[in-house]
Amino acid sequence: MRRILLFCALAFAAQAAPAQGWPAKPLHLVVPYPPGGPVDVSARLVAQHAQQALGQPVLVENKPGAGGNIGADFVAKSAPDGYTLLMGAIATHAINPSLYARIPYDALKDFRHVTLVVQVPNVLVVNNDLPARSVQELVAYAKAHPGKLDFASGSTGSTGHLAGEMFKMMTGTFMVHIPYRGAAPAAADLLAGRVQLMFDNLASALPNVKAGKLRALAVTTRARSSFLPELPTLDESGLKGFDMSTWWGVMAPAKTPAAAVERLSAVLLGAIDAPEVRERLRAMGAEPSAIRTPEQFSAFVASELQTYAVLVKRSGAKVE
Amino acid sequence: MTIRNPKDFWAGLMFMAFGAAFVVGALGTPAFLDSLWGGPILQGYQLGSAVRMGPAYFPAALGGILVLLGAVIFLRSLASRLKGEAVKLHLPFGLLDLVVVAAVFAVLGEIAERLGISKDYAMLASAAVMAVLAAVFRPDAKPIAMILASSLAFAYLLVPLGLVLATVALVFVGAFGGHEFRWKEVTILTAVLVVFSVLVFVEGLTLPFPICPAFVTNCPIH
Amino acid sequence: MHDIVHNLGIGFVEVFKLQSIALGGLTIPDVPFNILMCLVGVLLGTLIGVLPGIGPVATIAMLLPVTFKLSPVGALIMLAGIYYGAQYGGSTTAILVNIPGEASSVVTCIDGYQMARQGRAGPALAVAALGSFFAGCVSTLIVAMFAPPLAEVALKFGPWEYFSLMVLGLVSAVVLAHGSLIKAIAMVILGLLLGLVGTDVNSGVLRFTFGLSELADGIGFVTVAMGMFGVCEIIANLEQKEGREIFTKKVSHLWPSREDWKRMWAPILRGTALGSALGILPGGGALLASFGAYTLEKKVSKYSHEFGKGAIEGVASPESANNAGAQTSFIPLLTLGIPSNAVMALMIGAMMIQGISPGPQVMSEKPALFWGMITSMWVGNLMLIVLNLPLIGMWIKLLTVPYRILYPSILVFMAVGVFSISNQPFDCFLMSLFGLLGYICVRLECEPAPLILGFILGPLMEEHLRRAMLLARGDAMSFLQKPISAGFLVASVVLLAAIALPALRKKREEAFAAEE
Repeated sequence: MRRILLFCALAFAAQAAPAQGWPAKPLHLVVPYPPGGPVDVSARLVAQHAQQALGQPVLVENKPGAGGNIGADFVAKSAPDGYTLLMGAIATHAINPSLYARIPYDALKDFRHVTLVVQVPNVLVVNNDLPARSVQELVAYAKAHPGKLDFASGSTGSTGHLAGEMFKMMTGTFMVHIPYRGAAPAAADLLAGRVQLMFDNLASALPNVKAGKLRALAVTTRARSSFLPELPTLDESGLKGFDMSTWWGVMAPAKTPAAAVERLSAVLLGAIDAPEVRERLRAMGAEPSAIRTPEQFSAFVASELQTYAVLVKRSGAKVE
Repeated sequence: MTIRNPKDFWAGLMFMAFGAAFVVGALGTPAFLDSLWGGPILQGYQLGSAVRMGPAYFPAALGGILVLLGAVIFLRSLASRLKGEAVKLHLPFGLLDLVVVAAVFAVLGEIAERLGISKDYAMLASAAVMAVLAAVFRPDAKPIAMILASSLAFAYLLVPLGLVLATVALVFVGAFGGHEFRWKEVTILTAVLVVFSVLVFVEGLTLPFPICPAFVTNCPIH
Repeated sequence: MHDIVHNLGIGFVEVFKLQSIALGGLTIPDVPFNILMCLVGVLLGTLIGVLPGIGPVATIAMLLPVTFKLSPVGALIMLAGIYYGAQYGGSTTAILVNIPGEASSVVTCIDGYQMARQGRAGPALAVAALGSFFAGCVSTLIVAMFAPPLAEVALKFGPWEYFSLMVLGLVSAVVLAHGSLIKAIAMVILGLLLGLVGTDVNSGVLRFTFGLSELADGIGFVTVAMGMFGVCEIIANLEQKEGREIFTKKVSHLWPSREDWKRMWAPILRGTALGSALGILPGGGALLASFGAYTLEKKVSKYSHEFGKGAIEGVASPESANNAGAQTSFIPLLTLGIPSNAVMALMIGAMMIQGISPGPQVMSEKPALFWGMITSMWVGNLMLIVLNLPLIGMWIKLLTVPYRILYPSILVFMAVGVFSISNQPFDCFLMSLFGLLGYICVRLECEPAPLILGFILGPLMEEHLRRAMLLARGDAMSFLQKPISAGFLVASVVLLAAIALPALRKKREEAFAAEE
C-alpha cells in the first residue's frame, strides 16, 4: 500500500537527516474524537502536510470519549517535550469546562494554544412548512406560540444547542430543546417536520438548503459566510453581538518549549495556507481566520471560555 | 425445600442482584442505609414522571422487572413439586472465589492510588495474583483464569512494554490455560504472531501501537 | 423502465471506465481504475471483517487521507466495498469461531457455529456467501429503481415508529433463545440495562459510570461481543476434559448437500425481502434485519426444532437479510445525505472532502457518481462471491489446525481489536469482565444472544421513547395514534402471545402430568 511506501521513505529520510533539536522523533497528534469526524479528518489533512515540513511523521491518534475530555486530559498530562499534541476543540476548551461538573484539566493553564485550524459557522435552518421567512418572522411566531416550537441539536452542550439557548435568551422566546445523538438524525427529523428548527453546522446543512428542502434564515457568526453570501447574520437580524462558531486547533502541553511552539506554529500555518489543504477545509465550511499566532489563539480561547461559562449556566445544561 | 435446579437458583440470584444494583444505582441508596453510613452513598438520578422521564426512569423500571423475573426463576428452582431428576451445576469456582478476586483487584488498586503509582501496574499485579491463586487453589479454573489474565496482561503491558512483549505475554499466559504447554511450539507460535501483528496491524492498518518498550528511545520500527 | 436502463448504463460506463493514473512519477494509461478500487475495497473489507475486533469504521477512517488523492468515484467505490466486504468477512468468523464481526453477524453465530462444530462449516460458509450474493444483487436493484420513493418512506419513521419497531425487535430477541423463555427475557432486560451505561442523550447525565470517564460513552458493542462470544467460547473449549485435538468433527463436504439447497431458497428470499425493507430506516433498521429474519424463519419453518442446533435456515436467512440491509442502507445516504451508521458517516466525510455535498441533489448533479456507486455494488458482490467460495476450502483447512495453536491466535486478534477501539487498556479489561459474565451465564443456561440484542437496542429504545414523549408533550397515546407505530405494537403483542402460549401450554401439561 502507498502508506507503507510512504513510511519507508520517511524512515530513510529521517535517518539520513542529522538529528539536531526538535523534532527528532515522530510526533503524535491526539484527536479526542472517533475517527472520521470533521476534527479527525482535518487533523489527518494537516498532519500529512506538516510531516513533510517537519521531516518526521505526524501520527494521528484517536482517543475518544467523554465529549473529548479524555483525549484533552491525556495531552494535558503528557510530557511537554513537543512530541504530543492535541487537536483541541470548542467542546474541550470552551464548553466542557462549564458543562461538566468535574473536568480534570484547565483549558487555559494546562495548554499552549498553537494554531487555530478550522472555524465554521452554524446556520439557522427551519423546516419549509414553518411560516417564517426571516429571523424577525421566526421570533414573532415563537412569541405568538410559546413552547410550541421544537429545536433540535446534535447533543446536549453542543454548539447547536447553545446557539439555540443564546437565541432564546436574546429574543425572550421559549422553545423546547430536543437533543439527538449526532447532527444527522436531528436533520432527518427536521426534514420530516417533526422538529421545526435547528442550528446546524454549515457543511451538513448546505446541501439541503441548496436543494430547497430546508430554509436557511441566518448564520451564527458575525461575518457572513462566503457559501451563502445573501444570508444575513444573526447579528444583522436583530440579535446584536451574536457571534458563535465551531472551531478547533492544535494545542500542546503548557510547558512545551517556546522554540518548538514557534516552529510548530509556522509549519501549521503553512499547512492550512497550502492550497490543497485550504480547499479541503473549505469543503467543510471553514473560512480563513484572522486568528493566526499562538497569542491570538490563547486570547480567543480565553474569551470563548468566558462566553460559554455564562451561556451554559443560564441555559441550565449540564453533564454530571 | 431442596434446590431442584442449582442453575436456576444462581441465575435467579444473579438477575435479582443485577436488577437491584441498577435500581439502587438509578434511584440512589435508601435513606436508612444512608443514615447508617452518615451521608448519601449513591445519589441516583432524577426520576421525572411518566410524561417527562428523567434519566432514572427507564433503568429503575427495567431493574425492577429484572428483580421480579429473577425472583420467579429463583423460586422456581426451589420448587419440589415438579418431577424429573435434579440438574447439576458445574462451576470450577464459587461465589467466594469471585469475591476474593474482586477484593484483590480493589485492594491492589487502592494501594497503587495511595502510593501514587499508575493503576495499570495494580491491574497487572491483580491479574498475576488471580492467575496464581487459580493455579494453586482451583486447578479446574485454570483455563478461565489464564485466559482472562492473558488479555489483561496484553492490555496493560502494551504501552509500557510495546507490542512485541505484550504479545509474548498474551500468548504464553494464554497457552498456560490449555491442556498442554510445549515450549518450542509456543515460542514459534509467538514469533509468528508477533511478526504478523507488526506487519498487519502496525504497518498495514497503521494502528498506533508502540512496538518497542517505552524505555527504548530509538525503536527501529514505528 | 427506460430511465433505469439508461441510468445503469451510465453506472456501468463509470465503473468500467479506463483512466490513466500517475504512480510515483510514472503515468500508466488505460487502467480500469474504479474496478481496481472496488477490488481493493472488498479485499480489505473481507480482511477486516475476518479479523475480530477491527471493524470497517477504523479502517475507513485511516484510509480517508489516501482517498484525498483519488478521484471521488473511485474513493467512494472503495469505501463502500470495504463496508459490505466486511459483512461477508464477519459472517466467516461468526461461523468458524463464534465471534461476530459486526452486530449483524451475531445471529449467524447461533446456527452457523453449531454447523461448524458438526463438521458442516463448508455448507454454512457457502450458504452465507450465496445468500449474501443473492441479497446483494436484489437489493442493489431495489436501490437503483426505488431509491427516492423509499427515502420518502424512511422519512415517515419518527421516534414513535422506531420505538415500536424496536419493541417488536426485542420480542424477536426472545425467540432467538432455545431454552427457558423467562431466562431469555431476563437476559434481554439485562442487556437493555447494560446498554444504558454511559451518557444519557436527553439529559446529559452520566449513568452507571462509577465516575470513570472511559465509560462516559458507554460500553462498546465490540467489547461485549468479543467478551461474551469470543473469550467465553475459548474458555468453554479449553475446559473440555477430553482435550480434543481437532476443533470440529471430521469435515464432511465443502459444498451444501441437495437437501441443503432445497431448504435454503425460501429463507434467502424471505431474508432478502425483510432486510431490504428494514435497511432503509436510518435509525437502526439494518441492525434489526438479521434478528428479524431469524425470528421470522424460526416461526415459519417446519424445521424450527433444529434452530439453535445447526439449522441451515438459521444461516441463510439472517445472512441474506444483513447483506440486503447493508445495500439498502445506502439509500438514506445517497438520497438525503443522512447516514444510517458510523460507516456511512465516514463516507459523508469522505464525500465532503472531495467537495461533494451528500444530499438530494447528488443524484441529479452527479449522476456518474450516484449510478457508478450503485453499479459498483453489483460488481463488488460478484467479486466477493468469486473470492469467498474458493476460500472456503482454505478456511476449512484452518479449522483442522490443533486448537492449542488456534486459540492463542484468536486471542491476539481479539485483544488487538478491542484495544484499538480507543487505544486504552480499559476496553480489554471490560472484555475480560464480559468473558467472565458470559461464562457464568452459559453455565447457568442463560444465553448470551438475547443479551446482546437487548444491549444494542436498549439505548436506542430509550432515546426514541423519551424523544417521542418530549415531542408529543407527554401524550403516551401518540404511540397508538400513529398507524405505523400502532401496527408494530400490535404485532409485538401477537408475537409475544405466539411465543408464550405454547410455552404456557407445555407447563400446564407438565403440571397436570405431575399431579397424576
